[in-house]
Formats: sequence, C-alpha cells, structure tokens
Amino acid sequence: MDNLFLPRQAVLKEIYQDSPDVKRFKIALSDAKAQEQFSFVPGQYIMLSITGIGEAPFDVCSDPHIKEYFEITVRKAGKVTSALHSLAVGDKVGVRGPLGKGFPSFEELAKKDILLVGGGIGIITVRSVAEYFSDEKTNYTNKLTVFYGARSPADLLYEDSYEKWGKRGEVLITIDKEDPAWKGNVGLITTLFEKTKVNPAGYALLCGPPIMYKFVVQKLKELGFKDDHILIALERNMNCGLGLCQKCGVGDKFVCIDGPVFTYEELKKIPGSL
Amino acid sequence: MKKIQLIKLISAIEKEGFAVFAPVEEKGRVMVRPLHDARQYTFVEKLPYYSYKAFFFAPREVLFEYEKGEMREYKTEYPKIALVGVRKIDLKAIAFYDEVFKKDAYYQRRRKNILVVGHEVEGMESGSFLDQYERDTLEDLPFDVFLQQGKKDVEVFVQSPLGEKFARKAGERKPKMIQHSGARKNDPESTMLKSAVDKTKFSDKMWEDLGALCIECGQCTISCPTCYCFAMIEEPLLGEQKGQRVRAWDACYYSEFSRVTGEHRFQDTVAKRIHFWYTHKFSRDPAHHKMIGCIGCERCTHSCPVDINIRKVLASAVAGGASYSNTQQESYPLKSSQS
Repeated sequence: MDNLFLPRQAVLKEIYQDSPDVKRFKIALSDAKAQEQFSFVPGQYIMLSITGIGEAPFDVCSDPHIKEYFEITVRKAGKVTSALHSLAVGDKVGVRGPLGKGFPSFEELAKKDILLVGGGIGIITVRSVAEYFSDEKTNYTNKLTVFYGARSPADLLYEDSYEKWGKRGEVLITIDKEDPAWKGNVGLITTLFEKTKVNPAGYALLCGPPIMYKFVVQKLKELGFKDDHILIALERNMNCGLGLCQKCGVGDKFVCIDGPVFTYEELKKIPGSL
Repeated sequence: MKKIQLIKLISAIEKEGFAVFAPVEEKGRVMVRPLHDARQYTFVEKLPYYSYKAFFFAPREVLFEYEKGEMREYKTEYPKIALVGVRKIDLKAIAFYDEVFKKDAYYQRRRKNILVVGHEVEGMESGSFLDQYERDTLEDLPFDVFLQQGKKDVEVFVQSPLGEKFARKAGERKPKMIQHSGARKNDPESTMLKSAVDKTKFSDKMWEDLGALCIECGQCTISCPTCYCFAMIEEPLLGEQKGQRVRAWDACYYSEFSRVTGEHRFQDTVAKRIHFWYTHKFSRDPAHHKMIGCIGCERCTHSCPVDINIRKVLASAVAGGASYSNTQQESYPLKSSQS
C-alpha cells in the first residue's frame, strides 16, 4: 500500500524574486522518471515539506506543457513560506501530490471564452491556465481575458508574461491605490468590468480573497454567467490533503479533495463557504 | 460454547502472542484494561467509557523520520492486540474506521495486528439511540470471532482464518463462517440526518445557543469513537537537522483548527465550530463514506462538562434548527416521528 503521507524528495532548481515578498521556485522531483510523469491540472496543489519546519499547500502555477520541472509562487507570510524563502538553489524539499480537483480540463475550457480573475496572490492559481492557453504549442481560438488586481505596482507578479497572455485576448490590471509609478487602472478588481466586454457564455475562473468573490460573483451573475461556469478556488487550512484531517471541511465537502476548485453552483448551497 | 471453552479461547489467543484487553468495571465506569487472567473475563453490558478508538487510531503516530532533508518511512512493529468482549455497537465504529482509513498505510499496519472478539447477549438493548444499528447483521460488522450468548449456550461465529483457528482450539468444532465485505452504507436514517444537518446554517439559533453553552474543551471529540481529525506536527529529535513528523489527535473546537496563513480563522466563533463538528459527523462523513460518523453511543454527552446532549442537538436539527436548550429539549429520535 502506498504511503500517502510520505513526501517525495525534490530539489529547488531555480529561484526568482517576483516581487519584494514573493519568490517563484522551479522544482523538480529528484527521481527523474517521477518528474517526467508529474502531471497536473491547473488549480491542483502540492503539499511542500521543509523538514523541521512543516508542510503547507501551494498551487502549481507553471505551464502544464513543461515536463522538466514545475513551479510554485510563494509569498513570505508564515512559517513554511518564510523557511522556503530562505532556501537556495540545490536545496531539498519534500513534495506530495499533485492533489485535489483543479479547473475543468483544457479541452473543456477551450470550448468557451475564458475570464481569469486573480486578486492579489490569487493570480498565482490562475497563472497556469494563462500560460497553457498562451503557449505557442496550443492553437485554441477561444478568447482569454485576464483581470488582475494588486495592492501596488511593486506587488505585480509575472510582469514578463502579460504581453504573451494578451496575444490570446486581453490583460487588464488594476491597483488598489493611486501610485506615482502607475499610469493604469486604480480601484477594485470589479471596476475592470467597466473597461471591457466579457463573454457571459464563457467560463470565469476566480482566485483571490473571500471579499473579492462576493463582489466578482455578483458582477458575473449580473452579466449572465451560469453558476456552474463560475469556478472558484478556495483557500483553507490543510494538513493531510487526503480528506481525512478535517481542517478544510466546508459543508459536506473537503477543499483538499473535492476542491480547491468548486463551481459557484456548489458553493452557493454552503453557507460560510465564500 | 461453554464458559470453560471461552477461557480456552482467550488462552489460545494469548498463547499466540496477543496482548488481550477487555472491558472491566472500575469505580462505576467501564474501562478497557489488559486481561491478565482469562478466567476473569466476563461480558460487560455497559459500554467502555472511552471507546476502542486509541487501539486503531493512535493518539500519536510517527509518520516518518528525517535527517538533513532525507526522509525515511518510520517502520515500527505494531503490537499484537486482542480486544475481547466488544459489543456490536462498538464493532460498528471499527467498521467505520476500516472504511475511513482504507487507504491509510499506518492504519492498515496497525489494524492487521488487532484481533477482535465481539460479544453480545441475546435480547439486550443495543446501547445506541440510533435505530439503524438494529438493522446491522453480523455480515455488516467486522470481527474475528463473535460470541452470541443465548439463554443456554454461546453461539460462535468467525470471519477470519485466525478467528476460526482460535475457535477450533477452544473446542468449537464447527464455528459458523460469516462473510464480511464492509460496513452497511446509505442507511435511510443517515440520509435523513445528513439532510437535516445540511439544512441548518451556522447562524441558526440552535447553533448560537450551543455556542453560548460550549466551553470548547474538546472532550466530546476525544471520547467519540468515530471522531478522527488530526494535526500533523513537526517534532525535533537529538541529532543534526533530525526530527520526525507526527500525526496527533486534534479537536475542531480549537480556534487554530481553521487558521490559515495571515491569521484568518474560518471558524471564528464557538457557534461555527460546534456546527462544524456536527457537519463533520452528519454531513461530510456520509458524503464521503456513506455512513454517518456516529454510532449513537452518547459518549460525547456523558463526557460533556456543560451537559450538551447529542440527542437534543439532533432533535433541534431535525426540527429545523430553531433553538437548543439542554434542559427542556425533546430528544432524538422524536416521538412524533417514530413509527
């Protein structure tokens, strides 16, 4: 019987400083064959272990086409993230997963236009969808619109990618407060709905703070998006990632195995889930 | 099977290297203790105050060890344990663990070394307030040997080759073989209770009332035979960058339980947390395992220092979540709904 609690060993291949408190890590499983077989759906996560510190969930955010490594983007905020930020290229970590249920398959998403809404570090979770659909290897024709709201220009992540993502549609960015270094949109992420037309027959993929869900869902509903086409990635405390420890319980579901991605159709029935 | 054969059965189990445990009355409470003399074994009707949970799901389990970033699976010899005199209602809890932990390597290793001897006396009350356990047959429950005590004799049933071997050693020539392929699922009562609990919101009056009563001691979770939430903890060991990861019993009544990075706590009130406990047992368990996480033993009620009564809580939920009072409430099952 497989031991689902035992992490596989992995190595940090490259580390990028994406913003003052955010780093992106290229990781590869030490077993080359296992790395080759590491396949994930955007929205799925890994449990990353740093021995002596602990384990925490991180969404896999790289382009699923890439087989040599995968990426996670991590804001320094707690115990495991701080320890991870102090590691160097070549250091070992433990990896369980990929785990959980992610966004619908690319074949399914490709049938419709896609709106990605990333609030703050929520952009991390939807990044791999943008990366996948803007990859040269794909020839889908559906439109990709990205709404991204950050605290300040300095907090913006993945700035090198906006042009590439934009080729498949549009990238609209807003920041919370006026900033001398910023000439673009200022205000809540919902203000971006005034700046462009999104196709209400498409999919909306959301990740951000709970308060964002409330207002963005309301906006999407007004536009006529279907409840089962609004896809929301939830955050909860997670220990096991296996639907056992109960930390991430939400109504009759576990965020760790039934999610992290849920449809609004599912979540609207569970008070307190959003 | 006669009394002398029962002694032979227990002795045979002991000789095979099993540490035998059985329920005994101690100062008004029933405790599960090592049985040092097979002759002292006797059926105890009252359920053990603490369930058999700790034998199956250890309060603290080392998952793996590490040294300088290298992780090694923790291999240990799990003790051979025989639990003798387990009543049917507590066998149901074992059936529940077998289902919940079917993919858990640690549970499976521990479980492999536990021998279960069930014992029930004909005509005795089940000990459960849930009516679904009356519908359980011996096929639905896991055991190695089961002793069905009638007026004159004890009938012996076996499920495993090991159980059969011990029964034969005790002089039982033809123990009846019972096939068990897992617990009975989707009982209508479970479905009804899930639906009732799902319909209540944490903001309903009953949960507010319970939130005001509960002192979050976590005793109900510890004493509950079917509560199994846990925390994963990092423990340092002597040595350079050496340590181990452990899983330990947790309780969803503690506010850290739902804490995420940034200090946000999703269950930030007592009312939300007690509601969360009930959704675990009556909503998430049936959604994922097709069984509610409750055997109706009332150990939670007996261990609660502020007298929160599970039967009254369920009665409130079935009644739509209107209010809860631990002094005047009707108990589940409601008399009006009994046929």
